[in-house]
Amino acid sequence: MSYFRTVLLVAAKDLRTELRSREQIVTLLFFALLVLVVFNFAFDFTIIDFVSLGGGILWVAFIFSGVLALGRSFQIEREQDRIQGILMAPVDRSAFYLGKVCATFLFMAAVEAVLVPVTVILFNFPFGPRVGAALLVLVLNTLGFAAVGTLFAAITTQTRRGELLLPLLLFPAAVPLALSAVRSTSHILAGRPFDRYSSWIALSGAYDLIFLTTAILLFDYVLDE
Amino acid sequence: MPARRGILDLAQTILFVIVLVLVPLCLYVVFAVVPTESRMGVVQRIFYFHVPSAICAFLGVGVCAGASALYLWKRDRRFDLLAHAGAELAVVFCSIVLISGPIWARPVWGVWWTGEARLTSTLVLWLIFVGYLVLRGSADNPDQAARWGAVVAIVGALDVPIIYKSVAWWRGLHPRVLKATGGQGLDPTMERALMLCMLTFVLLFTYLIIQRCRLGRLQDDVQALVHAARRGSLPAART
Amino acid sequence: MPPVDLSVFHGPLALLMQSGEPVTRFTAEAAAAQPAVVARGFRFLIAAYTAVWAILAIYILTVSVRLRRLSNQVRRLKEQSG
Repeated sequence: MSYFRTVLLVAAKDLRTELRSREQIVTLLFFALLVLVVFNFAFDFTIIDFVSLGGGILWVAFIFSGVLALGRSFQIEREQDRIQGILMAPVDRSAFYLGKVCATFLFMAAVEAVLVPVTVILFNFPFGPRVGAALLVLVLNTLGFAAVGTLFAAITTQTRRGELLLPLLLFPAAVPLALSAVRSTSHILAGRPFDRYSSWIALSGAYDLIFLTTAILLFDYVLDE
Repeated sequence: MPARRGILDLAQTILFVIVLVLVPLCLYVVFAVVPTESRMGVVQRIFYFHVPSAICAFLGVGVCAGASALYLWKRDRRFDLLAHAGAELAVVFCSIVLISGPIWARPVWGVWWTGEARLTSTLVLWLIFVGYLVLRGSADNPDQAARWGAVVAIVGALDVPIIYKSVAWWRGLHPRVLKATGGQGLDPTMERALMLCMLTFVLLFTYLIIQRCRLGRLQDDVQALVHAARRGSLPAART
Repeated sequence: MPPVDLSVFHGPLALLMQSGEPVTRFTAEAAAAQPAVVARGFRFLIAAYTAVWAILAIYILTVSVRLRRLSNQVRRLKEQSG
């Protein structure tokens, strides 16, 4: 079975499971929305400059629901005891990894696709004409988060303290992405020109490249032999 | 391997003696010999231990990452011991940096934590390797601990320069090519004092890493012996 | 906000030392004119050094103690099984 077919199959399987039950996506969406609502009450936006806080709020919501998505992503495999099958398949395990990354990316993207319009309405956000740049920021940072998160989640879901360990490992490692995402989003919200945040976008791109490659090389060592 | 053990023991003893001599020397130099820095006053002397500690923390990270990569490649248990030791030392020296930094900042800038770029990045580094140690502790068996630790260490080490860069940009330092800034040189006495402290700390680091590896080795030995005793047989005595 | 002049350090050390922002108007320059502040500086200096060596000492001692305990355990186990 070719490499890319495997990747697509793994991702498709996760998505199909989800479409049937819709359980995970609903949980993720509601959790992210809850985070937004809490922030809406937590700060008095008539006083605070929302444009500068908006980036942080959005990405807090995305990151927290992303961690949930990652946890569930491997929990399902354990529950259905599919790990052995994956290990025995005659295909590079990194294909399995990439499939998982795709699935997680798509889940997070779905959450973002709902949350951004909601935020625009809830907070009277001017998203402005920079849709392309916004998409770039969303895609690059979500991809990086999914890449490193999937690698770590594959490890931590095998431990007893997995739910504590995943954020403990992931948040420090994803700091560059978080900074890049929040800063870029803030600039976009403020309507500033692209070259103000182009270096941040380049940073995210480089991060994605480095860690996707690294994770593909290292994933073999993550699952028990 | 009596010969290798012997050399390591000898090296450790020599290191220990040298460090024992150097530390009082450093303290003397730092407190009595070096001139007081004009802008920050006496508190600036923290610098002489703060900077070498940071260097040792990075050394620990490098050793951990390198040993982790070698372990994944060669599957030699000794590399894993080295990786674990490196990570522990990285955490210890990072802690020193994170504690001496704020104590330095408080009288100089009036606040404990300025969110300053390098200190913040060091905090993130500390978190990564604390996570490494917690992860190893959560593994069910040494093989898992070694493999998982290696993965996290390599990812963490690759991340370090990116973290430092991104936090510096976040704090508003312009993206720049790495180059030295001009200006007057460091007072030569201060420079020499710093070098002395640097040497002392690096030697201390080396001593500690050997010590920690020996500890890890012994833990393995105990496990093996207990395991064998349970099974009722004994492995051939290690020479 | 008067910038802290870090040209006192040079070369790679300058890079290492450059942070460039005191966040308050409390500068050591102004404060050092008063002897009470110099004494305060000393207290912080001693505190920092104590902390540094305490951490190192605790770590070194912990490792040494565990080392000795394990050595004894190994010896005992070997004796037991003859």
